[in-house]
Amino acid sequence: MIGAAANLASRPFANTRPLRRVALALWVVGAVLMGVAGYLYWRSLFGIEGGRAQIADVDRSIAAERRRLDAAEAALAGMDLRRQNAEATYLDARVRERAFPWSALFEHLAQVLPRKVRLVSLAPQSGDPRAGTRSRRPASVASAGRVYLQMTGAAANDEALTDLLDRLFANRWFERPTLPTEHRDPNGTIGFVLGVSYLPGGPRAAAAAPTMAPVERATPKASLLTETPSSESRSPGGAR
Amino acid sequence: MNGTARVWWERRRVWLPATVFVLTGVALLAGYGLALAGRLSLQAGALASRRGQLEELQRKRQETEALVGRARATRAAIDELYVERLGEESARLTAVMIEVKKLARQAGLSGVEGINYNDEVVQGLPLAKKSIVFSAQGSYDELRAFINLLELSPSFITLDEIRVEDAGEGGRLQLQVRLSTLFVVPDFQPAAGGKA
Repeated sequence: MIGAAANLASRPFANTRPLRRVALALWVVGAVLMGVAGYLYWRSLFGIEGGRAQIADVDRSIAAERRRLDAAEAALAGMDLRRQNAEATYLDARVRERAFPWSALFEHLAQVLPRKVRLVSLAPQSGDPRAGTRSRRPASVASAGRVYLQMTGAAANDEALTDLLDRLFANRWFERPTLPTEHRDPNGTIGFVLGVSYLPGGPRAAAAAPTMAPVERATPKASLLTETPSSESRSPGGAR
Repeated sequence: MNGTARVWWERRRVWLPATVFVLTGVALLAGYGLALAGRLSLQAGALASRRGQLEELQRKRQETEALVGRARATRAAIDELYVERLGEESARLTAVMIEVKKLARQAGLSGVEGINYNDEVVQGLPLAKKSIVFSAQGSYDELRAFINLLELSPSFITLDEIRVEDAGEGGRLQLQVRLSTLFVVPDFQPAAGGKA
């Protein structure tokens, strides 16, 4: 009888190969996950410790910086900066006056004075009265690269006076001449008062010259004047 | 239960431990994400914040130290000017008077006789300004020579104003010269005021 095949297995056949493959894949995935987790835990354990140490280092540095800052602020508070600034400003202006290049001014005036004009008085002024900044102090010359000159004089005739004005306008050492007053003297000459800006370093230096920051404008931190009285050696025109 | 499910159930010892292993790994990662990652992030934030604070303090300290340095340099320069150039009136006045007359003589100016002195205290500062006004006679060249000598003089004497008049004697000029100098006021007591 061959019609019915004999089945010798005790159990019916079951394909377990996919099951084993899945199990193997799960072991592999699990191993990867455990590896990643282990790495992260290990890193965080040492990372937290390292972070703590870094924070402690930075805290120590902050404390040291605070001590140094306190010391510097205490040193600063011990200085009377307001008075020192006033002193520096005043002295700086006086040093600039001391450095005023009178000889150079005479040379430059000689270039513009017509023969029929003579000057009687010559006084540099601090600030240009035309700008409303005049003070009774004489010039702080190089603070703005220009100084206002007030002159009085006498001209033989109108032509000589207008010639003087024209020459002042044309000369590069002078700027914005004005003639607020003129009068005819009994002897026939024309007396005048003349104002003009003098540029001791020339127009380029006047354009480039920084204006000294007033102390009042500055914040307490920035109010220290860096310019020291020794700036005398930098006198305009090299007169000294 | 169909055949396949029955086979998986019957063979659970093959795949169940692996599944538990995977789930354990997932749980560990989830735990890390929930607990440690946040903590590390907080710690990194705290560290960054402290470093920012430290940088700010360092910047402020450097600025303050630079300011102190500048203030000290300015003070030293002022003190040097006081000591080396200005000095007290008792120590320098006669020297100034003599020098003005000597320079005038040296330049050839004549008639330097009446010299007027005016004192002006510089308010709030340990300084006194003394104006020196005198008349003299001389030529234009002599006036220029006097100004040149004054400019070259090491003394702190400032020429404030010059007035000239024709003296009517062969080009001779009648000059009026206003000079000024500064003296240090000893034992100066500044008015009480707030410090900067």
